[in-house]
Amino acid sequence: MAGLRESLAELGHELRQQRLRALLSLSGVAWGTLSILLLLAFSVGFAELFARRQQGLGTGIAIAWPSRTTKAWQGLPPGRRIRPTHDDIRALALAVPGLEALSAEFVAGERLQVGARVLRVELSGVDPEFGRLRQLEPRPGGRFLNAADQDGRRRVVFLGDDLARSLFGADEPVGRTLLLREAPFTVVGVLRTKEQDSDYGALDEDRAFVPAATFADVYGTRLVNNFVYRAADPARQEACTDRIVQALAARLRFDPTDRGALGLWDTTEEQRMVATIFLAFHVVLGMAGVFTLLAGGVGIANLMFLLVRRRTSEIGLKLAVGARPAQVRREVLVQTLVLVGAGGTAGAVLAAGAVALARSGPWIAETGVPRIPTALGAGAALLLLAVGVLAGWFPARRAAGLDPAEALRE
Amino acid sequence: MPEPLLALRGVSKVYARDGAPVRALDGVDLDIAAGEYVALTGASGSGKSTLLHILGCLDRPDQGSYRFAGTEIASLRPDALARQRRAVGFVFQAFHLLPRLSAVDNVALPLRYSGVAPAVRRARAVEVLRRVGLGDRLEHRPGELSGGQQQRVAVARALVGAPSLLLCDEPTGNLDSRSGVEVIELLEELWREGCTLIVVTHDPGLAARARRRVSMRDGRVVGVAEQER
Repeated sequence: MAGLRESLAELGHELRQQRLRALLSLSGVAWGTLSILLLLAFSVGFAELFARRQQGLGTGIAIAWPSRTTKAWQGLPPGRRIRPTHDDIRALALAVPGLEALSAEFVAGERLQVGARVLRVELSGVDPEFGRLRQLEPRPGGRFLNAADQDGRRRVVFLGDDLARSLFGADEPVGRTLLLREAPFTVVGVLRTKEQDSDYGALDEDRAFVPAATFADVYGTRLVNNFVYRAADPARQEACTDRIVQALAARLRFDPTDRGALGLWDTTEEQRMVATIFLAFHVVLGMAGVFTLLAGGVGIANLMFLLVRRRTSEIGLKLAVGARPAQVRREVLVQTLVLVGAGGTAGAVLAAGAVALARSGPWIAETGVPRIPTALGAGAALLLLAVGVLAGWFPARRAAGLDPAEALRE
Repeated sequence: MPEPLLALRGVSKVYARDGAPVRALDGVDLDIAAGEYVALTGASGSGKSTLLHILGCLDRPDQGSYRFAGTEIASLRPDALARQRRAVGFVFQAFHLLPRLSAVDNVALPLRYSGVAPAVRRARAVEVLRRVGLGDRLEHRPGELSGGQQQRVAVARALVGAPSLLLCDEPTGNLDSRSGVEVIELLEELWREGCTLIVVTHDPGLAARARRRVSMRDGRVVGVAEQER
């Protein structure tokens, strides 16, 4: 650009003449940028905390439990209890295409004993896939239940972290033995601490998990309490549920359209709803910030109009000595962008500082950890560019449209 | 016969003043050849400054034709008009120097818009300032210079783009008589070197120095007189 250095020197000179006004206008842009970044940084942190807690139960899973039929079928009346076995659930893996993971779950209230300590807990008998479905990640040094445990009907147990602490105190539980129905079970893993905001029965941190086959042996049952599954494509979850109902209906003799025969908690629906709510939340907060920034942009536009008016004669002179209107327009536009950029940078630095401080505060357990994602930073920069162009465009057009002869007479 | 450098045919310009139209130029016909030295004279409001602005491409006629070196100015778009202005050097009565800039930066200003590199701009500005006798005032700001020196800076600024046409609007109007003579002698030196010089003035003494005198009244050319010196 023609004389960028000179153009910026001109701007600096004019700003020194209009210190207070310049400071206020720059503050407007800085405040707008700070608002956008801070509001959205906290909003993102909160949304991530919420999602983490929500996904503590499992990402995109559905939990189904046997209920009663609601329709008559082949001479059988409605209201009949259906009772799927572990084999019925295992058969779904073949009968229902598009399932990414599936696990049966037996549930019982049970007493666990370590030495003199006895605790009554919620015990689940599950398939190996259950760990992946329900985010049951082991702490280092341990593992979740595996296929060998299941096939060998091993007496092994995976413990919730809180439960492990209650049973073993500060000692390492992995490799230790506990008594379940007076039979020794070896602890193979302990749950890594996780956020979880919903459950059925008890939070995972307080539960114990054994292989489903072992559970069936110990309790002499084949009837599962529920089963958990996830479609490979989240958009196909609903279709998978239909196929599951049809497959079970064929094995257990009920109407394949009888969705009421199964109780269902499809977390994808609420995860979608929460995602939509948070999107709206981001948009509302973002808009609040955008309007604040636009107000700052109006301040800058006013300042630039004032500077153009003060420099009318100078602009007339530039045009008289051969400056093209486009060059004059570009000068004013670049000066405006520099102003907006300076205000925006100040706001961004303040926001980054505030976010860095807030990340170490005691409140993050409730508010989440605020952060400025790259996309937010890039979006704010683009927005500042747009505000700069908007704020500068009209003063620049006025400057470029000046009649040099008239302007020189000013 | 070669085409004149500047050719005006039936040029009119109307301004609105307080809502009423004012005919600043009314059917002006005028030819000025390259290398001429012309004085435009007339009472205040006779249209001589408007004519000078049209000649310098700062303004365009509402009616009529103005050809500058064969180019019809009325048809030029704003950017082309700006480029045409670079062939013209303007000297104003009020100097129009930027007070925050040094003499050398004021002189270099026109080069900023012609794509000349900063170092070259400065070198040329220094050269022209030396040419007008201000080699020892390069870094002085206008406020630190006398009226005569300021007008010399303005002349240097008009010269820095090596124009073929020098237009001066009351160049001595704000100067004491000694400074005025120094400036007009400088302008005449440039004319003798081949520049076309047009001076608007109501100073009869200054007008008498030109080779041709164009008198204006009510937006019309009312007399053209060749002058001997």
